[in-house]
Amino acid sequence: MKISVRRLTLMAVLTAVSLTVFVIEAQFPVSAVGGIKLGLANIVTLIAMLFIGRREAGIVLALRIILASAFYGTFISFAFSVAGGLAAYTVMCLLINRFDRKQIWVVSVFGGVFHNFGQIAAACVITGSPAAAGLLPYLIVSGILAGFFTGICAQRLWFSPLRKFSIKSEK
Amino acid sequence: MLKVLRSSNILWAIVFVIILIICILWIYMPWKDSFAAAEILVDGELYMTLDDISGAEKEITVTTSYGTNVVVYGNNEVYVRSSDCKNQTCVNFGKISKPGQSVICAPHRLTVRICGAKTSDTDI
Repeated sequence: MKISVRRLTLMAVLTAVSLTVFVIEAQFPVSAVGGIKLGLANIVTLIAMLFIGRREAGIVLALRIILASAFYGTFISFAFSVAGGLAAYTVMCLLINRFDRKQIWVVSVFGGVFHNFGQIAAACVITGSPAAAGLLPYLIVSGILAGFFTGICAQRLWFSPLRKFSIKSEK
Repeated sequence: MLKVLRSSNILWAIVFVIILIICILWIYMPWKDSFAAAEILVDGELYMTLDDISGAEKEITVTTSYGTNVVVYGNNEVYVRSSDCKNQTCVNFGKISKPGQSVICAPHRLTVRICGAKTSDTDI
C-alpha cells in the first residue's frame, strides 16, 4: 500500500479525533436508556470514508476500537465494539458509493441499525442465549435515530469548507 | 427506480419513519399485562425461574463463578440493583416490564428475561 504523507497525516488526525470524541462521549452516563448512545465516533468513520477512502476508514475504525478498548475497555466491551463496528463498517462500505452525497444520512442510518444488529449478535453469543433478540425493536429505533444524527453531522461536514482537506477526488 | 432510490430524501425518510412506527408499536402494543414470570439464565442455562413478579419487591442474589448480581423483582418489574462487574451496564439498564425484554450482564454471562405466558416460544 503506497501511502502519501498527506494521507497518513489525515488518517492519524482522524484517528485522534475519533478517539477523543469516543472518550468524551463515554464520560456521560447512559443510565436512563440502558447502554444506548449516539455513537458520535461514527461521524469520524464516515468522514474518513468520504475524505480518504473506504479502506482507510476501516483502518481508522480498527485503530479507534483497539486504542479505546486498551485504555478504557474490558475484553467484553472490545468484543461488542468489534461486532458493532464491523457490521456497521461493512454495510456503509457497500452503500457509500451507491448513494448521492446528499444521502449520506441514509447510509449512516443503515450503519447505525447494523451496528446494533452486530451488538445483539455479540450479546447472543456471549450470553449463550437468544434472549438479547428481545431488545431488537428498541435497538432498531435507537440505531435509526443515532444513525440519522451522526449522518446529518457527517453530511454537514462534507458540504463545509473542511472538504478542502479531502484527498478523494469527487466524480 | 434505482435512480429514485439514490436521490430521494423524502422516500428514505418515509421508509425509516415507517420502520420506527412499526418498532414502537412492537414495543408498546402486544402482550401487555399478560405475563407473570421471569427467568434468570447463566451461560444460556436456566438458573432460576421467578414465578411471580407481580407481588411486593423481593431481592435475590445470584452468585456464580463469574460474579455476583443482585436481582430485584416485584410490581411487575425486574431490575439488577447491583453487580460486581466492571461495566455496570446491567445496573444502569434500568427496569424491564414487558415480555421479551431482558437485562444482560455480559461479563457475568447473565440474562434476566421476562417471559410472557403466551409469547415465550413465539418471539424468540
